[in-house]
Amino acid sequence: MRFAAISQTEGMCMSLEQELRRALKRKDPPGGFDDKVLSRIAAGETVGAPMGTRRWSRAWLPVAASLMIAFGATYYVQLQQQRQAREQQAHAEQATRDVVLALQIASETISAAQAKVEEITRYEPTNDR
Amino acid sequence: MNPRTTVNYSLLLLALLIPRPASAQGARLQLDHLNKLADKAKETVDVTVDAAMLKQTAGFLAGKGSDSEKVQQLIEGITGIYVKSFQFGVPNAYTDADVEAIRKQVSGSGWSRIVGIRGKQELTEIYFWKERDTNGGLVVIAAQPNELTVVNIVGRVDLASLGALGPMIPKLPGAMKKAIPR
Repeated sequence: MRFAAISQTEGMCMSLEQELRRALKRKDPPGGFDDKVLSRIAAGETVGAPMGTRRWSRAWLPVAASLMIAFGATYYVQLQQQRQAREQQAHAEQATRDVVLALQIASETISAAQAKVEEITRYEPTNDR
Repeated sequence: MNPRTTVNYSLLLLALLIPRPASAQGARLQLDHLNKLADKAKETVDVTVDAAMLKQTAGFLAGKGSDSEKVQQLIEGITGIYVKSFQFGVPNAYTDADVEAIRKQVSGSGWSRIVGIRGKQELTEIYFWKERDTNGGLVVIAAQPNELTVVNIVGRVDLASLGALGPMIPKLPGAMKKAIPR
């Protein structure tokens, strides 16, 4: 009984081995396969690498965002500097007007005082005799 | 330490810390009490120009002819210009106390009056502030029945140059086209 089972198993292994050999038997490619491959290479066809492209696009996104933020910040700083320069210019112009006005009033008041002093001294009797 | 000695030292320290009116403020006068006159005045000119503002104006006044150079030379030693000028629609809108408050400030040591003209209804006075024999400031008070002008210049100022400045001023950058309210 035991011997019968062993001989049956051996027979099954033999047939499996034969089937495998048949399946893995070397086969020649179909006719014109070489020409097709060479023509596709000549045409410049390449095999896409979807995973790599995706990886690059993922890397570029933060770089582009950073550049945009950097340009935006630079532009904002420039605008602020221009506004500050304009404000300083306006302050300086106002200060100049104030200085000139102050000098004008001071000059006029002093001139009026000088004129009064001259007028008084002209009519005052002198002790030169 | 004796408690009485402590009190004496404290009083001495306090006396040293309390600012003396004339010497502590220098040539700069306190003119804020005149601000109330702006409500009564027909025209008011209130100009406060400090050292920083004067420094700012140097660039604007520079290199625009000989007049500008003269003005620049004049303001070189000045560290502050303070002007309050009021023109009133009716006479006697200000009181003698308003003027006396200014005169009191220039009665201390360091100040000397170089011009003093007192008429029936008008007063013109020019005071100089001297510190260690150097001219350190100027005050002009011009009071008429319907007008009060106080000019306070702090720093080194040449009175003759300032008086002769009149004809040059309209040519200066920033000068007003129309006459100022006087």
